[in-house]
Amino acid sequence: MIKGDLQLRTPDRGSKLPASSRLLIAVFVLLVLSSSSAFASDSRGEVDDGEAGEASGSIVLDVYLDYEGMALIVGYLKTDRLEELDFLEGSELEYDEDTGEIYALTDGLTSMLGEETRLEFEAEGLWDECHLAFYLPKDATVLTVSSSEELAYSVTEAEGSMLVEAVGYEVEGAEVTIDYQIQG
Amino acid sequence: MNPWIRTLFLGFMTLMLVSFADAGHPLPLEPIYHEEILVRGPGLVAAQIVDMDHTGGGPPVLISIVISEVGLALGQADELIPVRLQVERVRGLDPSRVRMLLGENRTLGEIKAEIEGAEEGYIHRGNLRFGHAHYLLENLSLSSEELNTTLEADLMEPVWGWCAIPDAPESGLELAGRIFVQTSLANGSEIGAGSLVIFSGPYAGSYALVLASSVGPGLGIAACPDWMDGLAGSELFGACWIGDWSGSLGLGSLGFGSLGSGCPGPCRKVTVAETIRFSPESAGMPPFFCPGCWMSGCPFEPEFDDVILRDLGCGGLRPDLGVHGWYGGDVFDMMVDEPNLLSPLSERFWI
Repeated sequence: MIKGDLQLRTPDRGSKLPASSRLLIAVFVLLVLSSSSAFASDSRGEVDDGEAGEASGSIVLDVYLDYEGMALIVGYLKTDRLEELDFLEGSELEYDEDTGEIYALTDGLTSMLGEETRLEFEAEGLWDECHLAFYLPKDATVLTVSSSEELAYSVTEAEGSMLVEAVGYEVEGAEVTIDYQIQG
Repeated sequence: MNPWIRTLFLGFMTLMLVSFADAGHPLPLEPIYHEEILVRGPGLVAAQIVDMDHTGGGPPVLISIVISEVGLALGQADELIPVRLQVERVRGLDPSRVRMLLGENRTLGEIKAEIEGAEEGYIHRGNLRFGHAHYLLENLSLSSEELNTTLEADLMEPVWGWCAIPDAPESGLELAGRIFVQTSLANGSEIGAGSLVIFSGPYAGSYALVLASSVGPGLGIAACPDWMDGLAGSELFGACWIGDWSGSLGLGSLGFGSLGSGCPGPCRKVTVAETIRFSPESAGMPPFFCPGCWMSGCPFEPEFDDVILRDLGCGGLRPDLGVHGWYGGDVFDMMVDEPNLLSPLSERFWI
């Protein structure tokens, strides 16, 4: 029964193509593969030349905030443009180029607007992978969140914190802004 | 859909995948990994996973990326959906403890020393982009055996949806699906295959997955000295999808059936590991022009226990079925119609 079903189905799959056509298609695929590779190589060369400054990287950061708006940033960051990253401006920084491990301590991510706190994170550049986790104090009430178009964010309660998590791929300029208020 | 059009379309998508992979970038590895890689070859991910317990010494980093893959999912209606998968290895930190350290006005060096001196273990976390949808990975299980690694995880999404501020944030995440991926690695070529099921929403359904590392030499060409090097993986993927229309231009016709002999037949059954180990270099010529297999039938039949290729749609379900040309659609039909014929991998999702 089963065998019969299979035999019925497979013959009408395209085994009727003449050998010459198969050859043509195979050659076509081969040519496109090679041209695709060449094109990709050229593209990469342009990036390597540093013309546009669009070198891509990866960013995976956990950001821990205390009640005063001080932030500890830890994680993985691969970029050759570290000095151009806004979120590191004015921070105390330890960065290992080999492993990509980063530790940064900063109070520059947050600002006070009355009783509200605004967290602004901005990492310019093209990021192949971007995963940001902001651990706000548990008492925080998240009012608004905005992010780069390519980032999707979620707001959940986790590990005794309010967790705002943003993930995305091929992100051009990773930006996350969070307005929150500490209760009590 | 006309099988020829579908074949060409899938072939085109293969090229797209090659392009995606080519846009990959080298990820730095923790120092401990370098020796491992030298020993095991340039495959990064497997080496990382094999070594993920850091038993070999060296300073562990807080966060590292252990899997970064791009690929395609093939649905039951033959739709192809781009996929990106990332898994991170993260040292668990207690946010309240970090806040306490921040409150003590310590220097960064002191905080770092405290964190590194703590005894928190490592966890894996990850996320998946599936078409336009995002999922977080939970209950993530990674295991490694020789050159094969297996990932299993729940797909989660926020109860209130993405990009929404919940009224009750404690409601957290809800189960949205399940993913299973097996990755094999040899000679720098890496290919992952598996299954994915999504329970609801616009992507609801079951899918087969083909993934290539976006890190260095995967299916792509990024870290290969020239484009021929990259063919091993791309052919593997491409042949899986186009293997049907020639009956001879499947994996067998691409030289996989002549492993170790420089191409001339006779073709024989090869295992997944052998298949993936094959490279144009080892054959000494482009597999497309491999004499002895080109247009000569050379049916490739993966062993019955070759889970990866069978789930890719490349494998004959059973030798006695006499199927020498395989097509993704065929396999999907079978997956739906005859789940008992499926590999253990597929049975997890299609029963």
